[in-house]
Amino acid sequence: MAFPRRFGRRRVTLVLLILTSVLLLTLDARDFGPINGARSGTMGFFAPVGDFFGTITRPVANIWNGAFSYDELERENRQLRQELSDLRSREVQDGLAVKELEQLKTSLDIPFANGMPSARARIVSGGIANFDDTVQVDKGSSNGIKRGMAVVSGAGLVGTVVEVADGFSMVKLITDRDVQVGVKVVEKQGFAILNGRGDPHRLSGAVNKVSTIEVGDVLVTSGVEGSRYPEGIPVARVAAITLDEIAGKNDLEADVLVTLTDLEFVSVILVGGA
Amino acid sequence: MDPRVVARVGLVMVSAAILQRGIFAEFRVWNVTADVLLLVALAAAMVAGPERGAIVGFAAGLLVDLQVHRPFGITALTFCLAAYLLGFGETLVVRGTRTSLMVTGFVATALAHVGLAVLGELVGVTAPSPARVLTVAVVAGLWNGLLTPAAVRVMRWAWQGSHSLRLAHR
Repeated sequence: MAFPRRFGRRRVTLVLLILTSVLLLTLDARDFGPINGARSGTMGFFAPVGDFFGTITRPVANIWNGAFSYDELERENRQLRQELSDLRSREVQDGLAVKELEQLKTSLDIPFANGMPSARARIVSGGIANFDDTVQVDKGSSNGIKRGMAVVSGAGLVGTVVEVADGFSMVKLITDRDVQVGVKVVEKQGFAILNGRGDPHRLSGAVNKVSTIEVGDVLVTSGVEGSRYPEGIPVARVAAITLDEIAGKNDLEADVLVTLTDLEFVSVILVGGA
Repeated sequence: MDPRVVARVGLVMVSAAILQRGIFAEFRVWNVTADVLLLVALAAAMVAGPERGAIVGFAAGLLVDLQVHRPFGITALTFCLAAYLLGFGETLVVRGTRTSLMVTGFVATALAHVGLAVLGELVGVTAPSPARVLTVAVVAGLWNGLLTPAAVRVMRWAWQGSHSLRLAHR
């Protein structure tokens, strides 16, 4: 009767492993401290190793990833050509293009971080697994970074710090499926909540039916009470608005302003955080 | 279990984690990477059977859970189940060639990624769109399928001297 006994032992092992997994999931849901400690310790060990290998492999990887992102580059190219064309026609029409360009240049200097202390950080590694919208940066608790702090680049919001080790931090990108960002359009009526959906370019959300938000508007963080992001950080540009008659709201699709797949440096705003 | 086997399997897992972070995560196709730690679990199941495959899968999954920001234990659970089912299935089918190893690696990896998305939804993680899940499942499956024969060879080395070795002549 060795056969059934062997099957019985296998089942016991499997059940024990499943129960352990469920226990770990439960403990994590209750924010069990040692799990965060273990994550920070593991990141402190693997991040420098990843950084070392990444330095060697990145030039080749960039060529490789460029080849497989050809459609994406083509799309960006088309978009940029369209924007350039729009700017030119405006210049001809009223000569205001120069002024707009100056405003654009100003926006690249992270004016939304004015007066707020920030730490410049280099991205050392992207997400290591599939369905993992995180990056790791080379600054950590020793630089004053805490969990929950906002991370930005020159073009806008990048994400939130979710794990911190001594010299490294993990940043969850705004495109992650569990990230929600409260946004508004400056001087327009209506607040919206944008959600990540695992797409590195798009966010989706909803806004009240009476809102005056339009396609092309730039959405910035609302900074309402309780929000983890300071007010006024550019997030995305509205790409489509669809009326949902049944729910009585407008569904939003918005293009992320930051090219998250091609980031090298970011700034962590050293305000708030756990 | 022989302590030398445990040490070798541990070494394989840590090496896989380093390779995943330093090399494979950098080379993506449509933003999808190979999942080397899942591959270690699947190879363990093919070489040493469902029970040991499940244990290695659980440990490999925990190693992933420690490095990503998702509910802690969900990857361990997924890898453990995937390895167990693969190891169990392998006892029921006639084992074949290098090609069949690659096909097995492809199918098991694809199903494991679908399973990860479904389990994620069950524990409250918003699921990606079905199109994205499909893309990840297929591309990660292809990556892992290509790497499966090499992974099985490495696992055979790790398990040498153990009574539970199943794929001695592949």
